[in-house]
Order: sequence, then structure tokens, then C-alpha cells
Amino acid sequence: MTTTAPVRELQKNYGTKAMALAIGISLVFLILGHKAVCRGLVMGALFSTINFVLMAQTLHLKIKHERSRASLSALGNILFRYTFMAIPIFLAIKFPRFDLVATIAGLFMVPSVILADHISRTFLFSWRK
Amino acid sequence: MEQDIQTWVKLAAYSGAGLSIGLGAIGAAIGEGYTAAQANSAVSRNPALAGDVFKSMLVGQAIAESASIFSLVVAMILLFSNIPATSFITVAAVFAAGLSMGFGAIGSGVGAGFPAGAACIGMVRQPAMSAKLTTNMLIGSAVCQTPSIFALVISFILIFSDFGSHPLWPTWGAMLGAGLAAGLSAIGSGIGGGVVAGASSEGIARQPTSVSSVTNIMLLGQAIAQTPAILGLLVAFILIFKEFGATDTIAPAIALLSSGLCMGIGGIGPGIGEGIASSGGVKWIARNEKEIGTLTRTMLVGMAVAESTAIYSMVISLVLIFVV
Repeated sequence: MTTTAPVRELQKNYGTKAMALAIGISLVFLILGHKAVCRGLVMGALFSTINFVLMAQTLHLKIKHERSRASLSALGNILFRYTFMAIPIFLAIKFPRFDLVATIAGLFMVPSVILADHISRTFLFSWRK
Repeated sequence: MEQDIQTWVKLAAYSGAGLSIGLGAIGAAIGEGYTAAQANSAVSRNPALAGDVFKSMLVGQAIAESASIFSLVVAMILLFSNIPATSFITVAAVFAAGLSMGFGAIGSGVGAGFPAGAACIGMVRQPAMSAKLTTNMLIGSAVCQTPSIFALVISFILIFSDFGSHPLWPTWGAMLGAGLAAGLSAIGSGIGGGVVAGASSEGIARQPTSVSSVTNIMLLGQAIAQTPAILGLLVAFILIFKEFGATDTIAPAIALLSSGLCMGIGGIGPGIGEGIASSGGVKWIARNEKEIGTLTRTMLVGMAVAESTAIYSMVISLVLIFVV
């Protein structure tokens, strides 16, 4: 498929940035002594990144099948991803070692990075062009 | 008795969790599906740009999914948190939290699909504008999420506040009303905001030089289209934080419940209508930028008229809270 390489590049780009940002913010909280926030944020960001990778990696499975199987595959994919995204929230609710708010914030790390990346490129670094 | 309250709170929390993610998944799935359909259309027009279209589709879908992740978060908290059961009001509050988030995520999910789909189509029409189209799409989609954030805020307040000191009658009606007001009113604003953002991406693809005017008018249109959701949020806040005197009759509780229903349902149409009015403005400003003043004025007047029905709903809602 012609789409595989650019998509993988995109995933690598946003996944790396999301994890780097999460680790950077977590280090600040670690220095301030909020270990639970640090753990929650990294765990949320990790699941957010894997979810983003899963979104694209399973797409070709749907495209290759006939319509009915593709629909079932898409439904299964959504169910799997949502169950997967529920794991860090469950862990944060059950174990005080992970801060719930930080975990939830971590789950939005990839969309936040995508948004920040495009806005910064358009508005902040437009003078370079 | 204490055990009874706890059991009922659990029942309400489980039902609320089901409604939260069940309803919340509707919008995101429609939005993501619409984006994929438009991406297919774009690829068939220009298969050489399949990679860029695919990337744009993926990024758009990732943002469109945010509202359903809010729903997932609320559902998980309702399912696994230890919610203190101080009174039977908690039963209504946790169920209302699920209703609020479930309904509140529908509009944002659907709405976020429109700019993502339009960006995919626009990208094959104007490949040189890909970056600006993606940015416009992302800003538009992100603003679409605002009504679902309002619903999330109300859900959290309903889950984590202690209403133990409030009288059961009529406060249970106020709690359910608050959830319905915030959740239902967010549907229209989410869809309306998405319609504007979709028109904006389409406009930029048709007339790339109009990008800054179109983006500004899109943000103005989206801000006004959010008004019904803000009115819903306002009514929800009043219902949650106003202290109501204890009563022996069912009428005041039903009046408060109806107040939330009135604002919630009454906010759906105006939100979508304002989005349609604003999309017209954005679409034609892109094609005829010289007439931006006249077109913006017409758009704003049209939106103000569409807004009036939401204001009628709010007036009746306030009458139900303060007079009846």
C-alpha cells in the first residue's frame, strides 16, 4: 500500500512527541514530589500513543475484506480500542499510585500534540517560510 | 437504610455508565465514518495523494474521538469509583452525570467529522494548501469539542459534589434536569460548530487566498453556535447550585426536571441552525472576499434570529425554576 510509509512516519512523529512531552512534564512533577501525577501522566500518554498506532495499523484489515466482514472488523476494532483505553482509567481509579486526573490528561496527549504541532507551525514559525 | 442507598447508587451508576459510553460512542462513530467516506472520495479523485489524505483522515479521526473518550472516562469513574452515598439525591446525580456526558458527546463527535472530511476533499483539490487545510480542520474540530467539555464539567460536578444536605424533594428533579440541560443542549452546538468548520475547510480549498478571513469568520461563527450549549450550562449550574426548599408534592421536582428538558431540547435546533447560517457566511466569504462586511452582517443577523428560540427555551426554563 502506498499509504503505509507516510502514515508510519506520522505515527512515529506524533507518538515520539507525545511521549517526550509526557515524560518532560512528568519530570517536573517528579521534582516537585508528585510521583502519582508523574506515573499517571506517563501511563495515560503511553496508552494514547498505542491507541493512535492501533487506529492506523488495523485499517488495512478493514479495507481488504468484503463489506460485511469489514464492518464487523471495524466494530471489533472500536470495541478493542475502547476497552484498551479503559485500562489506564481502571488502574488509576483502583490504585492511588496513579493520579486519575493526570491519567485522563495523558490519554489526550496525542490529540493535544497534533493540535499544538499544527498551530505552532502555522502561527509561530510561519516567519521561517 | 444505608445499604439501600448504596445499592440504589450502584444501580444508578451502572445505568449512567452504560448511557454515557453508549450514547457517547454514537457521535464519534458517525463523525469518523463520515471522514473516512470523504477520504475515499478524495482518494478516488486523486489516487497519487492517497498518503496525504490518509494522514489527514487519521489525524481528523483522532480529534473526533476525543468526545467519546470523555464518555469513556465518565463511564469508568461511574463503574469503579467509590461514590459516597449520603442520600438518595446521589442516585439521581450519578444517573444524570451519565446522561449529561452521553448526550453531550453526540454533537461534538458528529461535528468534528465535517471539517475532517472537507479537509480530505480540499487536499486533493488544492494540494499546496494541505498544511493550512489541516490546521484549519484541527482548529475547527477542537472548537467542536467545547460543548462536550461543558457536559464533562457538569458530569464531574454531579459525581463529585456532596448533596447530602439538600432535601430529596425536589432536588432529585434538579439533578436530572441539570444533566439533561447540559447534555442535550451540547448536541446542537457540536453539530453546528462542525458544519461551520466543514464549510471553512471547503472555502479555503476553493479560494486559498481567503484563508485568514475564512478562519476568523469560522471562529466567530463557531463561538456564536456554542451559545445554546452555554445557555444549557447556565441552566445546569442554576439547577445544581440553587438551594430548593423541601416539598411534599411531586410538582416542584417535575418542574425542575422539565426546566432541564426544556433548555436541553430547545438548544438542539438553534445550535444546528446557527451552524448552517454561519456555514453560508463562511462559504460565500471564501468566494467573494470583497463583500466580507455585508456577508458577515447578514450571517450574524441570521444567527441572532436562529438563536432566539434557544432564548425562548431559556426563559421558560427559568420560569420553571424560579416561578413555578
